Amino acid sequence: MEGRDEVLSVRDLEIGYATGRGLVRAVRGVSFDLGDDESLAFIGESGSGKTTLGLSLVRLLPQNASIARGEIHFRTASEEALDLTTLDDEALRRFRWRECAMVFQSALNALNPVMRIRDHFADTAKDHGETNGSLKGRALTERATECLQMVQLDPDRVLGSFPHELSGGMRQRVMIALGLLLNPRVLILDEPTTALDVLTQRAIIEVLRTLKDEHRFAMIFVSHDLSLAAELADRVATTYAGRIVELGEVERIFYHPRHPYTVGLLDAVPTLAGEQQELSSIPGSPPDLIDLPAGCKFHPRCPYATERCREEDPPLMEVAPGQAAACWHWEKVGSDWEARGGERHERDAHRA
Amino acid sequence: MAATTGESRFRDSAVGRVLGWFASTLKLMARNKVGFAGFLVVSTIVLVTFIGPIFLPSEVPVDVKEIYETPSLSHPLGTDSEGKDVLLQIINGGRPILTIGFLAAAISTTIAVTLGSLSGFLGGRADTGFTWLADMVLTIPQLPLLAVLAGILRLNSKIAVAGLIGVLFWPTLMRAIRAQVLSLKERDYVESARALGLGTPHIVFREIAPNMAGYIAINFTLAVTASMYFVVALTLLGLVPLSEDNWGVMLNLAWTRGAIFSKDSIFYIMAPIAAIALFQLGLVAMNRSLSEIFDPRLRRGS
Amino acid sequence: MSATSGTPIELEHASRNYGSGNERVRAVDDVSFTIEPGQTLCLVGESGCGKSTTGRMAAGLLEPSQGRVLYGGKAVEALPEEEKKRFRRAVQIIHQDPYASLNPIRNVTQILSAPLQRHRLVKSRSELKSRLHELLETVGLTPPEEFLNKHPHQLSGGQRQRVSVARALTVGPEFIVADEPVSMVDVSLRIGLLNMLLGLQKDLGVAFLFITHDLAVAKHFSWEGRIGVMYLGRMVELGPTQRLVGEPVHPYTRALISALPEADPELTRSKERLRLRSPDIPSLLNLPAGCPFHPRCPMYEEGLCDTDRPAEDAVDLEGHLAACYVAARELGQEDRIPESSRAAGAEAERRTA
Repeated sequence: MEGRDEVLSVRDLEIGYATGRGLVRAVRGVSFDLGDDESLAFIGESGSGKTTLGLSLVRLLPQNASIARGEIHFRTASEEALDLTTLDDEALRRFRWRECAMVFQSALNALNPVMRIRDHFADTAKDHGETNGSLKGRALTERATECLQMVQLDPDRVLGSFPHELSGGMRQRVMIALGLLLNPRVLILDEPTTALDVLTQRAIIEVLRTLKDEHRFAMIFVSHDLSLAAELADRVATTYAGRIVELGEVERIFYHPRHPYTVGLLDAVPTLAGEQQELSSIPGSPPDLIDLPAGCKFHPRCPYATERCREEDPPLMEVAPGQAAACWHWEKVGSDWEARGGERHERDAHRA
Repeated sequence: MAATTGESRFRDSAVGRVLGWFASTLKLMARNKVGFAGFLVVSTIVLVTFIGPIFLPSEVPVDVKEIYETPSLSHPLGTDSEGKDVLLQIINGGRPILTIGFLAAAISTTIAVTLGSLSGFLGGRADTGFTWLADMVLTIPQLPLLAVLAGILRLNSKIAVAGLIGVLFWPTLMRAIRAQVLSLKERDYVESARALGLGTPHIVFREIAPNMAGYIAINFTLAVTASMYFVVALTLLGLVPLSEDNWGVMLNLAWTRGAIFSKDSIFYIMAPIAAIALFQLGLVAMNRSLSEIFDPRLRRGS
Repeated sequence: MSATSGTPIELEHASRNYGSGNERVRAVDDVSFTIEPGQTLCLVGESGCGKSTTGRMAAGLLEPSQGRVLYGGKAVEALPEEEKKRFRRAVQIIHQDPYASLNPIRNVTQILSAPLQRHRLVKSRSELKSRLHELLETVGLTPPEEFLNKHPHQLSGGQRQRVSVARALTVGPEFIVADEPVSMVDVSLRIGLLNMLLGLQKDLGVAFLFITHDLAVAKHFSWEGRIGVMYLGRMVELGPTQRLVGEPVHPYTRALISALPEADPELTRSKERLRLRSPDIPSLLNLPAGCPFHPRCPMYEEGLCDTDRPAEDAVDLEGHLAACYVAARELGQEDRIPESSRAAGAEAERRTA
């Protein structure tokens, strides 16, 4: 693994689901690195494979899923290098939540309805603790209190409550606090703001931003919401049909995209600021992961598609320092985009 | 693709269409192996017990020389206390039981679906009234009531027996149907149907009921099995003076004539029991195919 | 059908209650608005604000507990039979969940034919067939033959929504209530659906009551129209979209606008956020006195805000209404504040001075 500061390194990851209809190739060759203080957002829609990717990093894939190829290298707090694909159950138990934790969507069924919140903390500590004594008793309560305060919840009120007594926003924050309990190096958040009201979303985003600014750990966001990436991400990876199609720093992706899908997404999202915009949908439908087209998987919906796109699936290519896109025509995409720069600046003028 | 005009004319004719429907039903049944097996068992038993007796003597011959014979080539299931062949009795004796079973199930299912749908859809006083009625009938212990009524009324026709069982069986299914209707009523597509002014009959029969069809069909088959058990129980207790040989009467006679005390006569006792059990099993297995038929989403490959 | 041939739909002090006695809840509390033919009104608010219930009342699918729904100036319940039928066909609804809006056991042909046949809108099989083709093409499902025999589970979410719209169009409506029609559809497909609906407005003169929690979508859809912001069952602001988004008056609207994350890193990270006083949303069973937003409102003033409930038109800026007394005072409309609130406000000020 290169780089002193890298905590996660994924190479050529391929994951498939065995279903009645055939093999669903949810992740088809994903590679990326994650710095230990970095926020990386995976943005994609249905059929992008982003949720599968997130689950695979904590090895919480469902029964019918399997990692077909690839490596996931993790550097632990004690500077040990682990290959997540080969860990056994006991090692996984120690890995999960202590090195890398996952925060699920705040749906009511993410928390056990008959357990109080303090018991959720106790359970988590016990399940992933040391074999000779996990966090418990007063130390546990202190740490749980600390975590709840980090997410701006009142511990006295929350610890003794049942999940249904808390609002959706509070439950989401509890999920984040549970993730932080054992001080992981990486936190993976799956759609943390979806299905939440605007004002509650804002509160969660602020909580995450504070965590990011005040503590040193890496975050991976998995979402369909571009604006979440705009708020919190250092780098963004747009995903389509199981692959990363563009990867780069957040400002490059939003202001200088080079992949037609990224451009399509940016053109499809209405903004509140500014005048009425020219927005457009991406024609066609999300891909069928069982029956993918040949060549570039995006070509049926792409305005730049040529014969080459129908035959050859482009790899991620460097298009600028620190930015890569999987498109044969990235240069043309880039120049078309920059030529539209005029109308962007006009929009910016209305921002203030 | 180009069929001869003769072929396509046949396909469009009435006979052709019936056979076509038959063929596609068979194909649907065949999708699920367990269901198909059940379907075969049920069809065989029905065919044998309904059509078989046409070819057999209506009176099974008595032969006192061959009392309680064990199974042999001439008597595959042995004989009874009067030397009558057991297999022949089984073939002859199925029809009354099955008829009452289906009839009683039809009556109770019809009452349940009607009252349940009205109750769920109309709500208000109708709902309260029908539910109260269902609760009343439900609290009555069924077998003792049947026994008492059987003693009081003269139950010498199959329809009467079926009717009696039918009017006591509907409450449970009615409540289930009512619950389904209450839930389906709130579906978005039902609201759209209201907005489009499609009318109550359309909503009940075209939007709600078909979504319950599978459920109703399965409950119907379960009602058949339950009714059959009741009839047999009544006959065993001697409360139903049906004069024909039927599986229940066979059990009654076996009991009263001491067949249970002799190990030679085990086939005489077990035969009707096995026949009933086999039929039940077939029906329940067939339910698997029924669910697939009624719900297009479960049909694989579409 | 031109825009001028439609009929206005109006809600007049409409309320909807649930439960009784101690458990009575006002899901919608005294809401009024008019939608002229061909116009768009977006109802925006968070969950539990009553916008869906309001939509259903406007669509005639739910009766108001108080107040009236008017069609062409006449109360819908009191309409004579003929006009009631006309109303029923003129007003249609589109639902949010593509997986629940179509009957799973009926195919597209059956779903679309039912209203056409029921209301005798087609006179022959061939007319039915061509009408079905026309409808599918209008909603962008081409080629139509590909979709006619499909069952809902064979279609994608976006396609199902389009079938829903086609179904609503079968009876030639003047007014469609669209309840969050794009929130369960992929982001990249939303605009296509919205543009299709806008096309209906432009070409067929259909008026819309568009319900959404996403203010950015509301702004895009209703750019030429109006937006109404609802909170805990009440309409707190109502006005032309461009003015409401550009210069919001009510603190809740301002909070929503400031809270919304934007898909633009520099913009959204530098945006100033309005801080609310409390994260707790009161329960509908236990509403505070006065303005329902006051426990969280950054502009709260004791006495002024917790005495009387502000009327919808506490602020009236020529068709732009807001239910806020503090804003009324700041905009020079104190005379619209009732005496009791003004007195209570003055009293509180004296005490803290």
